[in-house]
Amino acid sequence: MSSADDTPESADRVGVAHIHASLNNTIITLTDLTGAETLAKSSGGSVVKQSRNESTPYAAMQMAEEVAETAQERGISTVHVRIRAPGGNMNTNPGPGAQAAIRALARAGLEIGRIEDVTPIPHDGCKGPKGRRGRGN
Amino acid sequence: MRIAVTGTPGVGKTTVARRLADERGVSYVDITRRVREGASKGYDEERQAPVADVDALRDDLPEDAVFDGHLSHRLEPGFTVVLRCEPDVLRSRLEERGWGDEKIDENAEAEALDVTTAEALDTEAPVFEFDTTEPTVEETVERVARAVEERDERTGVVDWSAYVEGRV
Ligand SMILES: Nc1ncnc2c1ncn2[C@@H]1O[C@H](COP(=O)(O)OP(=O)(O)O)[C@@H](O)[C@H]1O
Ligand SMILES: [Mg+2]
Repeated sequence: MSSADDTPESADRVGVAHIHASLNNTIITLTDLTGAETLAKSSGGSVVKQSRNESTPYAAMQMAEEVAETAQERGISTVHVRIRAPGGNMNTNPGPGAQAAIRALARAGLEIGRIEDVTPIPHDGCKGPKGRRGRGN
Repeated sequence: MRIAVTGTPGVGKTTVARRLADERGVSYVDITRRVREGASKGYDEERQAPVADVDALRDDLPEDAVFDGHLSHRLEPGFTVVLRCEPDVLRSRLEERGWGDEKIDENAEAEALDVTTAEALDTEAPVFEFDTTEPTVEETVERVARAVEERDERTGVVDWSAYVEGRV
């Protein structure tokens, strides 16, 4: 492994891209490894004119490009990705906006590290099977 | 017909499902209770919740019934009602239950990201989505009952982007 993780001031810092994709919108934020410092933030409303287009893969792609640019300005060359994206219960992939965003981050020249699915799961006295993606079962 | 009343905990499923079953004169089935009473396979330690066994849940369900539960849309209903609630209002409903912060956070975030609506749209059943944030229980029951009668499909009635943006 490179020294990226333990030399945060070097030219190859590692960041975290947080992708929140709902049926209505996609929001991407870039933070440092601890999640404490937000370096960039972009949402559908800032890249498309009509609100019905905010959740499209195209919007997600545009946002990812913006975020990737900021990342590179800050010397970040690698990002871990944390995705929150609903999908059908048979669906093992994150939503279309999220996939487009990850592809765009990679295309813009960022190295993609760990991809973690942290989609929230509704639960009261029980929860659904297959845990939906990520976070154990 | 089998009617699923689904949505994030706190949106009003139990309140609406009981009344709807009464009005239609059909059985009311509490899906979460059936999971707790055995229709489960495994346990999620992190969430302290039994994991539903959906196949077991599908066994002996009445032909005419209202299913109450956030997994009810997975039980091959003939019609699905997804109730919604603005996430901050939902939080206060869940706080009244004395739930812990983590459980409230995750449920509010699931509501904000349209998780249940997305799942329901992935099934065969027509979906009627209704926002319970403002209306009274009476208005909600009346509107939902009419939607079921008319097989009124309607989604995209809410957008909780502002909640998500406020928390990232
Ligand atoms: N329009 C509405 N429809 C249903 N419940 C509502 C509405 N407005 C407020 N509430 C309140 O919200 C709470 C919903 O609780 P409950 O029906 O147990 O939800 P769930 O079964 O989805 O967890 C109740 O206290 C109910 O009185
Ligand atoms: Mg209930």
